[in-house]
Amino acid sequence: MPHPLNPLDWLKSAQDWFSKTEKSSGFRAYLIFIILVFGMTICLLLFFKDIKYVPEVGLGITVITVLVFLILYVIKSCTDPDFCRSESHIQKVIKLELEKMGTEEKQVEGEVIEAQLLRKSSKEPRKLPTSSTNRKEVQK
Amino acid sequence: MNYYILTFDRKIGSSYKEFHDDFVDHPQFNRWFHYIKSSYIIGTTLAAGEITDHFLKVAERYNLPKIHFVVRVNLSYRGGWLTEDAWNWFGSNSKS
Repeated sequence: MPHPLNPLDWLKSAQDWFSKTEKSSGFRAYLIFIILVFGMTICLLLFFKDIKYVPEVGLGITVITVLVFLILYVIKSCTDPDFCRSESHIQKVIKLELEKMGTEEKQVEGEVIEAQLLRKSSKEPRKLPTSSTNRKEVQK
Repeated sequence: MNYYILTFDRKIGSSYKEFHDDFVDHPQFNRWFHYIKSSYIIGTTLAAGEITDHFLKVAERYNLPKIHFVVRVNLSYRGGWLTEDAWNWFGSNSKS
């Protein structure tokens, strides 16, 4: 049971949430961070603008965060293009990309096989030949 | 020629289209059967270890899980539920 005052439990809960949500939501953590930074900058500029260096620090943090976000976005786009697509869209694409199944002589679309009527083996499984050791055990 | 069954774990959400094309393209895979998504039956003169090496190489190429096993099988001892085409393949590749 997570303890409400334990920050590690909060962190674990957040990690669990991100791991269970859609793949496309994996980037939401960065977006939430940017929104928090924007909120902090607005507060600094509204309420503490008279303090020396506060406006520069606020704007600097925002600019750096946005730049890092853009760099991360470009890297993610190149390495994992599915990161911002919805899970249902990814599944649809994968369904279309289902490999051909069958044999070396006849390959058919995987979906066709899935839709076909299944039949039970027409041949009963053979019994394995009884070895001499097994016979002895039976005699005992 | 011997027959081997290869069973492997699939990575959920990954496409296996290119993996499949590369895997069955081995010049010494004389016969293959892939009517179940996570398994192949392979008729080949290769040894089990060589099939494993090939699987690992192709899985590595497409960044897919490497967990699998290969075991020699006798196609005559069979049972199950499959499509008719699949059973026909067994019929033409086993002695009885």
